[in-house]
Amino acid sequence: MARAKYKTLTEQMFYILICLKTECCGIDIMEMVAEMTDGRVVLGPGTLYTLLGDFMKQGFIKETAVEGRKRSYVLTDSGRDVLKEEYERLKAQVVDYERNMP
Amino acid sequence: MKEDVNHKKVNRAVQYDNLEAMARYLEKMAKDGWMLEKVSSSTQFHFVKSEPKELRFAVEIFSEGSEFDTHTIDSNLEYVEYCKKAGWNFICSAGKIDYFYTEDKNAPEIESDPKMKLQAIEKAQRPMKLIFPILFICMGLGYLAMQLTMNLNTMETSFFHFSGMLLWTFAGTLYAVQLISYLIWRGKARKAVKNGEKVPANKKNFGFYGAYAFILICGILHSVITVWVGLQYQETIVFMIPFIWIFILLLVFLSYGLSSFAEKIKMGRTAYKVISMAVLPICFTAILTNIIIIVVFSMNGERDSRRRIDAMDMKVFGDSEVFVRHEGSNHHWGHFLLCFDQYTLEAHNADREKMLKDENYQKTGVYQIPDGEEHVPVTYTWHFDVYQTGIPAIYNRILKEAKAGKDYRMLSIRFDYDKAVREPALEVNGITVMTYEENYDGDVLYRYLITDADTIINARCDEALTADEMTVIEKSFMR
Repeated sequence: MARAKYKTLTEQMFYILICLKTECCGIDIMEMVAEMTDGRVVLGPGTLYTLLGDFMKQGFIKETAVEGRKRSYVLTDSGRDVLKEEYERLKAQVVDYERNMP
Repeated sequence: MKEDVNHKKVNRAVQYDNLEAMARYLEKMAKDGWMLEKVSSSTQFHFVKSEPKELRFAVEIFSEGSEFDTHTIDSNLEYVEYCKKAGWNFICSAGKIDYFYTEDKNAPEIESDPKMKLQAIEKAQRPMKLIFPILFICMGLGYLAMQLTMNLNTMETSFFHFSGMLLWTFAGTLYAVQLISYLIWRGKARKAVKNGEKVPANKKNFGFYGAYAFILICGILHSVITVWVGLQYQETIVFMIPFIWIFILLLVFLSYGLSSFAEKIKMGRTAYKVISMAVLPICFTAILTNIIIIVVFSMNGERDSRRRIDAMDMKVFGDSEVFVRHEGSNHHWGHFLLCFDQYTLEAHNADREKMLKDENYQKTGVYQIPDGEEHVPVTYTWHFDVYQTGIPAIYNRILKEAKAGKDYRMLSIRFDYDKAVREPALEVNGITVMTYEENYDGDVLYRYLITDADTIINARCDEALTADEMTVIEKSFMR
């Protein structure tokens, strides 16, 4: 059931997972997402914190290092799959759009 | 905490489903030159005098926190780091809530996903706004079930039962209103979030804290009064009542426990749906049952007793003396209303059969009066227990009506002269008053005074005669 929640990722989840393709500190993700999307996607710190916890529980990401209160994470294979699925879904949407809306 | 020109303390209830209001309040205070310093016991806000400033405040639920946290826990500090990074300055945490402020007008909202925000609010609200009311209402139903399986005759007359039921109905209604209001808001909020809107604030607050405090105060008062009444009649069962209220206080903790258990076993939202679907029928049943019981029993009280008297088919009081005596017992406090009449053995046996069919009457032993003894002034004598009440108004009415010769319901026949031992008790106007001791397995249970005016006084063997009893005795002997 919990997994079903991540069947379609929200934009925020999507970008968090992308940021974690290489190991990075959780707290830096906010800035990374803002840069990556030119400020289009705003990621609240509370949302980020909660989602990182959820992703850990789901096994989409794993903790790599703890420095004081700063934790670093990296995407797992399962996380990659989820991201890939979402990418495929979005791609299919784009294809459908282009086919039907000339 | 000092309170002077530079410090200010304000009590304010925090509503999880309307944290925006709190943030706006703190902003207004900052604008007026009062900066939030700390929050103690979740509702006491300490302000310190500062430069009036236009600040943005954020009041956020930290889901991993607990209402019972006494300090900011480690994971909360990690969360605070995230918020600091986004430009939010941490002020303090109180329970599940963290307080932040920022001067940056462009700082992102801390919780940027409305769906997750709503989930956090629902999780925080669950113990007090969902589980507690359900538990409370279930307890009320259990209380009613207890009442219904007990002797129905005691229902409407006893102070303890009557006031207790009133209180439960009142509290149950309050909690039901609160619960329904919450569920309505939750439905609206879920719909809004589904449509991509922000979580709407719940502006309808049914004074939860006030109502809760009020019920608790009423409950404690109820306990005190009932115990006081109980003390008057040496009633032991009433001492249980304060424990019920202690249990209600424990319910708060139980709610949180059940809530975190639900979280642990991942009941998920489907289970909540089931719970909330069950809640409405439970509430309505509880309230309706309460109202029906109170209304029906108070209306039918008289008819009910008539029916019983019809079954007895006899005039109980007539012109004979009526004497009321207080009696403490293990099961009810009552006053023994003694009345005395000529009564044949045949009539007694027939009535007894009728009475024993009614399960509310307790069984009596076979009754026999020693024949041919000159000191027995009447052929057959009879006395009745009348269940009495702690409410003076009802008590006085019964007394008045009893004196006017009205019929009364009867609960038990206690008559057993099998093992009676006759002894002289006292002398009034030159006449010796004899008592009959009722023995049971060697113990003296009751001592009856039999007067020459067909009057029997039930005197407990372990108590001396009271002045009232003496008056009656004197009156009977002087006739």
